[in-house]
Amino acid sequence: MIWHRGELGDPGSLDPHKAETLIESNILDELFEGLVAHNARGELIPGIAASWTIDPAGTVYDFQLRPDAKWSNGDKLGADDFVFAFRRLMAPATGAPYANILFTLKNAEKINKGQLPLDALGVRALDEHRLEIILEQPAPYFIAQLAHFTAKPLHRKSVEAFESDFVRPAHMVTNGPFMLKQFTPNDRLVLIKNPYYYDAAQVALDQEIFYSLEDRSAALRRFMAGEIQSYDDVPLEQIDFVRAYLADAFKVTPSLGTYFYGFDTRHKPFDDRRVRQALAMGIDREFIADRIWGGTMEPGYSFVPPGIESYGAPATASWKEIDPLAREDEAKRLLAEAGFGPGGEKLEVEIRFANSENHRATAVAIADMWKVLGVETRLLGTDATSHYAFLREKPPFDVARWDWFADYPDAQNFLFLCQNDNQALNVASFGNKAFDTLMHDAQAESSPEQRRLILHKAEALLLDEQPDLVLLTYRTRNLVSPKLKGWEANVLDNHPGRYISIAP
Amino acid sequence: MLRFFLTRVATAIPTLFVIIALSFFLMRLAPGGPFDSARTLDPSIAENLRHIYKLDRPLLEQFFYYLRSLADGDLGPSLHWRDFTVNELFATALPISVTLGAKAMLTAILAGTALGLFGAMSKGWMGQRLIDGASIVGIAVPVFVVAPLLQLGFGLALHVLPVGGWDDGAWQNQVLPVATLALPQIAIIARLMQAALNDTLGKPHMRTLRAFGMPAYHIYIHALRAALPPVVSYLGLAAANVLTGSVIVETIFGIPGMGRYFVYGALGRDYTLVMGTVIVVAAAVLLFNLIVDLVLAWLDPRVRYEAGL
Amino acid sequence: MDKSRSEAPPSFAAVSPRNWPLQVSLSILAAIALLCLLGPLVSGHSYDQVYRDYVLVRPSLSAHPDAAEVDSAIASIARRIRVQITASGEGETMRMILHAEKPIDPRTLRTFERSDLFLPARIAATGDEGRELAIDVPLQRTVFLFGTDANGRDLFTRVLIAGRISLAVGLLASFVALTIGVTYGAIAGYAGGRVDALMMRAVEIVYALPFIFFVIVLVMVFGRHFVLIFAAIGAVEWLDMARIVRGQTLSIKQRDFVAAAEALGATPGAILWRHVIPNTSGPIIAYLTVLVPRVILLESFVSFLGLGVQEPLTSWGVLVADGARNIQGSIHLLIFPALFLGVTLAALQTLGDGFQRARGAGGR
Repeated sequence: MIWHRGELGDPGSLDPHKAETLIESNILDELFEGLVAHNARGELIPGIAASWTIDPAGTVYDFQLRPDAKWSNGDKLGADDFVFAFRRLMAPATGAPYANILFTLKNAEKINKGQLPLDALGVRALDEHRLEIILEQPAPYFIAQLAHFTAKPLHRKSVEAFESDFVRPAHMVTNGPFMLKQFTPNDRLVLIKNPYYYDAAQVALDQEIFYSLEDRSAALRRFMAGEIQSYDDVPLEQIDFVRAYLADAFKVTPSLGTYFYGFDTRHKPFDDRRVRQALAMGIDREFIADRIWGGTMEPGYSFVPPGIESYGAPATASWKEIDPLAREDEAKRLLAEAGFGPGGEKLEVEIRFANSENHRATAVAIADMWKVLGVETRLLGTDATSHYAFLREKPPFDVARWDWFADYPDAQNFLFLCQNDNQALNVASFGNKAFDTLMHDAQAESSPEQRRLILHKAEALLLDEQPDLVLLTYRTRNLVSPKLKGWEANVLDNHPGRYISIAP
Repeated sequence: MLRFFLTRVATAIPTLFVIIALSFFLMRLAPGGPFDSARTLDPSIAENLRHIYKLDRPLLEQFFYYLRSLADGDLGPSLHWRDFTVNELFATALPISVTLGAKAMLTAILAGTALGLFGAMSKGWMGQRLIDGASIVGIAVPVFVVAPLLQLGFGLALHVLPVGGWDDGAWQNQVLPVATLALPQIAIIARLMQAALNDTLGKPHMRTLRAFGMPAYHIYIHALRAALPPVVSYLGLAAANVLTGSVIVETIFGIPGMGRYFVYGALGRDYTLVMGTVIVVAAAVLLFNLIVDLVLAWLDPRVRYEAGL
Repeated sequence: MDKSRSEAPPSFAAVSPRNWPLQVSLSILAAIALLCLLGPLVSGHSYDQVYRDYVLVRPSLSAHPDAAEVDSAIASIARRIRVQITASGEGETMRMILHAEKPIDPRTLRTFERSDLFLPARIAATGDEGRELAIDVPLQRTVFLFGTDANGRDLFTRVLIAGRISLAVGLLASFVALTIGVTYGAIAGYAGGRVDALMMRAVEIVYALPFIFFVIVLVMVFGRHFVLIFAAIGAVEWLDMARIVRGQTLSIKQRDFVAAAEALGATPGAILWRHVIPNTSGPIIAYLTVLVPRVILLESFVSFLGLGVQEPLTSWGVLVADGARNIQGSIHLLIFPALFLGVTLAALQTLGDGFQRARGAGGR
């Protein structure tokens, strides 16, 4: 039984400490299993860690590991494999791009910056099957973070013997439901069942083959020909066609991602809250979600997407329920108050975006909507890397499109984007003391209910200030053959091969 | 001939060096780097990565470091496909692109010459018009329209060929990509051949040969030989073009060839990979141009004297 | 002694009635150029005008909205302003009765004006303390000859605007490539020896440079002026032309008439201009008819990377590329731009043939 799985591209690396994207995450989830894992519904379940306890202060975690956990070459898997992996993750010489996700670990940040030795990391093996993790500060989302690919264990002997070559099919030793058989870039990546996986008896698949398919339309054709059984995207131009002819294969699921237009709050006129609010109000999000994105996006009125259990329903923009025409009037009034419009200056805005997917069409639609407010809009689309470099370097701009997908399901993983000390990701350069204070309070708060309330307040502040214009909430689009059983829609878009079977 | 050949080989080295140097510095001028992705990295981590890959050293030092590894035959690690070296990526991809490209060129040369000959030979204007019309279609319809249409037609509608994939070089998977690559080249070669043939056939010495009662096919072979230079000149470029132009074909059909490395290497700022592709293209260009010059000289003896042979 | 006389330079006066390729192709090209220049002014649409209610509409000679569109528009407006609407009437004006729980604010009737299907509503009667409204709403008739694109913009106007860009880029960049390429190639071929070798090595060097980086850097240095597209494309395409011309020149300069001209003391420049270049004109024109489509398609690739024409402007290449992604959905997005592109290219090819004929070449 083979799952022919279409992916959006090649993995940049099979080393969990060098991985970055969703593609790598999908593949690494098949090869490795961390302390915790996700089931078919995207729920957190125990992985290699059978159980754990947390001390009252919330900083010391004690994990009891499964005694039957093994590596794909038969070796036993123990706590020291996790210790080794975490240390390697933080070692500066490794150059792990997402080491910062686990800066929650004690001393992790200092070690990564070269200020402390590796063994200062707050991770140690109490015995063969007991792992102790100490955090810098209490973090209620820590268990969820452990499902991330940066928290996978590594087979110490192979990594030490082969160094960066340990990812080759001949050398790679894994502890998940599958092991690596072959990887040909731009062609395919073949996984075969790992017989030593503790739950191998329940794994129906013999092989899982990933195909690197960047062109969405070509992938659709291959899906229709039966050459692949699933694909992680649907070409937007063909949505109507797919809805009509492939209705039982077409899956749209809410997802934890937000589509933003970030304002550069460092200079006029975008340092004026009224201008930002007006521009945000003047957009018909339903039109964009339905007509431009073919109903595969959700109109976005909240900074944090819905679907995070610990957070509940997010805050929404205060003007969400107002009639669109009244909103327009209000927007014009705000602009006039800020000095723009008839009798005042003409507001000119330049939108920057990457020329992929529907970003171009979205920008065109928004430019048209802002015209009604009397705003003149210029569009500048560049190739993707130039755009990302732009977001990183942040020369003065007006509006820049960007998006954010959750690393782990917690509201903090969205709200922290606007913290002033978040150098890399604060696109709008937002600096608001009240907001930063709320976020710090939330971090220190031990009661989950209190924390939730504080975070809600923070979100409401963001929506009032609109440093980043929330346009849409992402939904994932998937093509899934009806023959694929065990594929369940979930917000994390996690579909472990462990639960999949193919009907004849 | 030998002296010509050796001189060209000798001049190839400095030419290659200039190409490498220019490309190396040209690449660094573009905004962004290999670590710029949708999710901006933590600044200290980004700095650390640059240090690991020696991207924080002065440019000139990086250049000499690169030259030294080149001298060892090492094209460096890929920054995008981080588990592989550029040598490894090319080892699998180059043979595939060369196979497809060679088959496409061969098809194009044979079909193009045949069609060009047919057009030039046909009495009356029907044949000419047909070739003209067909060649226009071949040139005007872009690759990214032809490829999907072929996929839809032969793959989905008729079910006679796979829609995509390489399947380790199974012949069924090669048919559509080769056809897509060959089509525009057939059109161009047919047109060039036809024009050159018409030109030659109209020349005074051709009339003389006919007046002397030479059989038709002799005349055409004569004309062919005289008409080849512009076509041969184009072929050298066509071959290198097919290599780069195969990006779209490889993306749509899912072929693991070199085409994607050219574009996605540049778009992703994978410096070492792009340098590797530059070297491959440069070597191909130099090689093909040399072959073209040799063939030109062989075809037209008068050229040999001037070309220093 | 016919053999030693070279061919006469092209005579453009030879546009005789029997030279129908030249005439037909010139007329077609003139027609297309005229259409692209003037069409957008009279098409009734602006090229960047977005019709939110008419996204991805099929091409049609009859005017929108049709009955189905009216019904669904009324239904969605009713939802938006939270009233119940009963509509009646045929012809150009609809009579609608609005019911709501609370008195209806007349300002909400602006929704009709905002819609692309209707013109401003006129209140005919009010009743039930403002909870019931009778209004007359005229229909706004619009024709989309070629349909609309994914943003709801008229495709006919956009294809014509795109034509302006593509023709400009195609012809200008090709002209640049032609001028530089022919001059460079002829000089290299004629000079021969070391000069030729050096010049051809330079061609190889420029040829091997990574084109995408070259364009990215140009964009960075020169900003977003789209004239630089011509620069980038011209800078790449002249290389092929130069090689072909050089190859031809190498052959030609051995001919008797060239030797004769040299013996007579003609300067190299004169020889090149009067003897060499005219005799290479066959392959040059043939390659030119290949060059223009390549330039247009290359421009679309450059624009696709975000380095060429920016929205709301567009080009045939971009439209065809977008259309190719819509083959299984809205194929009209592909057909019309591809048609225009194809016809233009065909006309250019035939023009080339016409020139050949005017020159008196190709005798059989």
